[in-house]
Amino acid sequence: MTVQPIVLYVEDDPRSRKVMEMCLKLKMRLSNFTIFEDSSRFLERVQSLDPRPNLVFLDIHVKPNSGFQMLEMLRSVETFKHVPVIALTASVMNEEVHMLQTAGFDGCLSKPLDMETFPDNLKRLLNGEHVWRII
Amino acid sequence: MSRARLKRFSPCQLSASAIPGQRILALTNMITTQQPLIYNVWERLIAPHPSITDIEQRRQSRLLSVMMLTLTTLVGLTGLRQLYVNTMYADTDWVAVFLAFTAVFLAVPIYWLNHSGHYKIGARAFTALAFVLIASYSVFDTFGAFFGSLIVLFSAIFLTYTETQVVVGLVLGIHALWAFPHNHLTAFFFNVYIAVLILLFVRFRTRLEQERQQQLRDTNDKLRASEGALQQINVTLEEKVKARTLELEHAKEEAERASHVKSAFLASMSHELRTPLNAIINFTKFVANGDLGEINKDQAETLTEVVSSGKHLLNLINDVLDMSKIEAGSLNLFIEENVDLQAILTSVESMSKSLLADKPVELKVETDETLPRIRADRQRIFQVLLNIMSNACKFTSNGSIWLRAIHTDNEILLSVQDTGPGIAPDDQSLVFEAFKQTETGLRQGGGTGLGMPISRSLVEAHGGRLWLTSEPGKGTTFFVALPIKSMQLVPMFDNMERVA
Repeated sequence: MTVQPIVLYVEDDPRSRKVMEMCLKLKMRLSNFTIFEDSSRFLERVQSLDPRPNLVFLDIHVKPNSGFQMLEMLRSVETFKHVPVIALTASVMNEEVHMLQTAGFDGCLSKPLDMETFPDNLKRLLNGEHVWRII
Repeated sequence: MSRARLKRFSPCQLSASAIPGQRILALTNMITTQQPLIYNVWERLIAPHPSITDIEQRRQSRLLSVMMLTLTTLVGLTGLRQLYVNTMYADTDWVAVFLAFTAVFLAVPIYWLNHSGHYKIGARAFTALAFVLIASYSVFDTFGAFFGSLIVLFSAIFLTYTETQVVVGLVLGIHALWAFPHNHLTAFFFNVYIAVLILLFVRFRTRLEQERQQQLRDTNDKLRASEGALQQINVTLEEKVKARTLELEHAKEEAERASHVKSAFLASMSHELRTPLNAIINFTKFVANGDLGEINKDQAETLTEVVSSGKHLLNLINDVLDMSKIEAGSLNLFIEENVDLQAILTSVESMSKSLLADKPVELKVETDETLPRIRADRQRIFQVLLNIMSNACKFTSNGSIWLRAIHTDNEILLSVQDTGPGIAPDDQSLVFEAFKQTETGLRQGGGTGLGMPISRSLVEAHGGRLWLTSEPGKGTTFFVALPIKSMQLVPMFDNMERVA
């Protein structure tokens, strides 16, 4: 199994964006990823991506479209119906995780991001596993 | 004979009995039950009119009916006898015959009056009839004394006290008119004596009755008064309950609102603290790893300290939030059916091994071959077990740690036994108190002092128990008893995949 992860990350906090970028670049040596600073014209921008991402990480408190809205948009188009969408959020109280689960996310990684397990989690997500890693 | 018995042998049942012997028996019974039929006819004849409700008057009405009927029969027979005597001996008492037939003639309408509900008129008519008949026949001789008494007696039975007094006056007056001129004073005074006795008796009875009724009225009044008081109390109580319910509803709404505000605050605090920690921990890690350029050993060690401090802060945030939720009563469990305890134990085991690193401590896992799946919050059970295990790993410097799981029909008993320093008896209760670490715990460092109180609350929220036994110098055993299918837990999802 050698599918390369092509990651899309939507995050409005610049430090969190930088953590992800360093993680993907320095730790995993990946260059094929995209990071959105906001969620305006989200679907339009996602659909214009080439190559098409095969993993989507979404922050929840993003403007103008929240993580939940973005998930709904992705699920509304055929091309993204089955792409794993993972919440990467600092809102991981039980109730919030429950909301993510009922909304239909394929998993959740909590902030602070656990770099040690991140590569392994990527692999599992690409394999179609659900990963709810809340520390 | 009872009515019930009469009913039992209804014609319907008679025809239904197929066996001849039984049929004869039934017929015999029918014949014997003819007697009550006559009795019933008699009962119907003397029954007072339903419009009469007063018990005493009903009795009087019955008696009057009986008397009218017997009078009709007896006086009629007497009259016939007189006629018979006439034919045999020709010395007919024509006055007697005339009076007898008048009596019969008048008794029937009196009976009818009484029977159709006009008791009072009937009673007066009867007394008047008796008065006229007896007075005209026999007041004027020696026997007048007895007959006069009879009229007074009748009026005492059937009329009111005042009416009786009038009757006594009339009887004695008429008797006196005859007795004094004829010097029949003995009979007259006898009559006076009886009349006075009867009047006294009636007076006595009336007074007694009045007193009884007064007593009844008093009791009734008292009852009504206490009933009123009770009703008042009831109304007051109802009002109080309503007011209290309203108050409680307000308080509940207020509490719910406060709880909601608190939850929202905790959620936002968690979010706000975690976001900068993401940068602190991960940037430090990159630098410490040398990803951003060479650093020396001291710098690396220091930065690693920063990372572990950041992680400690994260744990503290989690624990403080958990504790706040527990104290606010807003800790929600995310219950799943069929939680695989074996999988949780495996994760706990592997994480414990990395915690022990290269310490000379042997980790042994002993579980029942098959453990039943339980209804629980997977994440929270994992949290509890990891907390207990990480304590054991932290405090045991050499020896062994046993992780055990056994089950009964409705409970799973998990235990973690170590060969650590043990906990002094005085400290054993401190373990479960918030922010109270034991001396050893403080020396060891690293803990938040909240792990055990949270764990105990979590286990108790599952309907289970968490406790410890320890002997200083030998080691400690923590026990967790969990119900397999706790009735107090409501599952939220079925087999939701959620890997810790």
